[in-house]
Amino acid sequence: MTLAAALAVALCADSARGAAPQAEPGEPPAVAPDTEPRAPAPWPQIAAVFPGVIVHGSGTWLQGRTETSERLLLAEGSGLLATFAAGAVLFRTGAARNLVGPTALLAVAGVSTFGLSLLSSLYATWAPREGWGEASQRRALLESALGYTYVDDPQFAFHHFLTTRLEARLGAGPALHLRLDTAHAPDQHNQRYELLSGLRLLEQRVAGVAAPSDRARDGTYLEPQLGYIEHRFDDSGFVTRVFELQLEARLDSARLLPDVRGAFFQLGAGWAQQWFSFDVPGVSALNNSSLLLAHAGFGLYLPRASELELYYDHRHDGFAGGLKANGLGSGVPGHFGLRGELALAEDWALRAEAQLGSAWVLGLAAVLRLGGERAPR
Amino acid sequence: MAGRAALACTLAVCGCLRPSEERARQDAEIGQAEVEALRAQIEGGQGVVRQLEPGYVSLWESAPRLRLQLAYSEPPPGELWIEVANCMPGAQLAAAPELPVLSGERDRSGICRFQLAPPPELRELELTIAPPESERPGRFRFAVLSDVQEAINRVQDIYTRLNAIAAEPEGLDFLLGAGDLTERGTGEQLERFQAELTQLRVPYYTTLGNHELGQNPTLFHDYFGRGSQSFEYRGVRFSLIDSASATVDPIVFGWLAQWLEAGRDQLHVVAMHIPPLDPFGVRNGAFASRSEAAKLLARLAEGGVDLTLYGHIHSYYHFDNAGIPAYISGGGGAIPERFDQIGRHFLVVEADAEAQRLDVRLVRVD
Repeated sequence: MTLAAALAVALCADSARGAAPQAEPGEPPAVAPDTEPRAPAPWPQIAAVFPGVIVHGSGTWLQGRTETSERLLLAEGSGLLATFAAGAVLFRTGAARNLVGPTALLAVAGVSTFGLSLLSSLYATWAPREGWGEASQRRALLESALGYTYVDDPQFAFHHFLTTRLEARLGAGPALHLRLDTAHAPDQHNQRYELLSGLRLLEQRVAGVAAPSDRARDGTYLEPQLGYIEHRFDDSGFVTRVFELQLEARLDSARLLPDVRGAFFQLGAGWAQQWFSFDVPGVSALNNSSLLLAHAGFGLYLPRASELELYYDHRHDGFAGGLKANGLGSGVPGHFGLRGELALAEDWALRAEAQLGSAWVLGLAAVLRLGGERAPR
Repeated sequence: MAGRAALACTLAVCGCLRPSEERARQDAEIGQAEVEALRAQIEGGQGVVRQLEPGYVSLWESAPRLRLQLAYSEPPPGELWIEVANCMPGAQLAAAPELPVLSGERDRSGICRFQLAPPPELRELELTIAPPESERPGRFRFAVLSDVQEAINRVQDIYTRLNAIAAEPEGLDFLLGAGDLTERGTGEQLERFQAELTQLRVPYYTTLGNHELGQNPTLFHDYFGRGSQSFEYRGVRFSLIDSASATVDPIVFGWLAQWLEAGRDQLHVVAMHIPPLDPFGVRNGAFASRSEAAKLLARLAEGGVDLTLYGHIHSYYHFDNAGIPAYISGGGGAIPERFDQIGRHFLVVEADAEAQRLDVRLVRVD
């Protein structure tokens, strides 16, 4: 919720910000002018680590970027406040069934806001002011991917999956987003199908955007999504099906931190219902359980329309599941992941992803994009 | 240096994927001890050898029937004392080869003491300690209590209620625990829990919960034995599973396959601390991986399990998982789930192996 609030404030405030130099509605503001640095390098870079881990924005403050430092500190404070408030409610109520959904979401949002604020603080101090890259302006009509995923889950014998993705973007502003993902391990009787539909809102139009030197490209969007997942574990005698509702968003860093470019926050929150169909000799049963969906990632735009994202995802289904840990929080955390996309050519890319939860998941795929809009050269 | 760091990272990652592996390996070592001239082994690890001397063996019993093998490498002393804590009322000792039991008694704290006079030529001795009817299928009652944690100062009135139920004509044969006995699993807390158990008139068999994992290595096993074990009592099979890390280690899955096979034609009760699935999934007081949870439930269903008992969530829930009746009972007094109108409680289960019935009743304490 902290994240959602930040997103809403950023988008609304930005639209209304007439005073920002060279900014137009829907576009991020230009980089704010620097004030005199309070300390020369490498002190800001050192301060970003310590005391920056505790006081976010320490590095940028020494660089004379007062507004950015204040915003980072505000984000850290709101993250901590949300975490402690949620923790207090969970503790006092014994994670009561009627309150646990929103409270757990607040807890995840609080911890995530703290984590994103820390990463932003480090990035803002260490990275070049314009970043290493900018949002891809390729809006392909069709995108297909073929890949391989390795899963190391001590509970299951399967390891090797052939993966495919077919993705379409129909229309523009808003665009209808459709995606089908599959993962097959035919010899090990395990298959996963994911079908997702979303409506891409608030996205910067490609057509008409001026050359990169004129104005930064912005990857911000908001997408309400509906999804269905079927995962068959035929060898283990069950199938799970998930129906999910989620709000996914990407917020470019400059929307919240005007002089921090080339990074983004990837956010998501939602709810899902999971059904388990058991089909073992003598038993045919169906159970269901809800799932809290939350995703918080910090991403970097890299040269040539590539990008990298480090994230936390609260999902407990899927190959990665949740982190296994000894102690009081056993079972509660989701998984961590690192996702990257490397553009090889205008229409070709490589996509890689690593996740650590109950299992290690490592995936690599080749991506081909067809049709759609391209940014003017 | 870099190689050592890489190894440390690899071990840490492996630890992430199998956090309960070390405990499963610890389980396999339970019930074995050796001193000069004497080796002791408890079958199935269903007890802890606390002290071992040629003339004195002290045990903690983790199941209603305990079979102990003693192997002497030199003539045993003329007098052998066997002391069994957490012993079942009415337990008797049978020796093979047959030996006269010179004395045998159970005190009010649940300790049975038996005196034997082994002949000097004896080298191997097998002792069975159990009530005579424990192998005969029949009707009996047991209770289920979990999640005492910081409420150890208030557990006495729960024990008073349990003792009152034990005094009823139908009796109460034992108390089953589904973990979280203590706040952090320290030696002091486990000592205290064990000391309070002396107020209870029936023995206590339990697995551990995530709150017992506050120490490394875990001390639970030194006090209460295996985290995962299986035993049979009056025609009903009981399997206790260590799910304290929100997962079941593949080693335990292997044992479970044997226990399910052994209990296929019997009533089978499975208890563990963290439930595979939380009835309120967004809370996920459950397994870290939904896929693993479903795999376990499919195994239990296929194995013909009749009842699943869980703790961890401090309330009372009755539902079914994979067609198996399931109860979450975390009513030992730890921070309760608010607004549920439940409070401290325990379960009483009436088991009838001949009629193939398991009837579960909620008993409120507050």
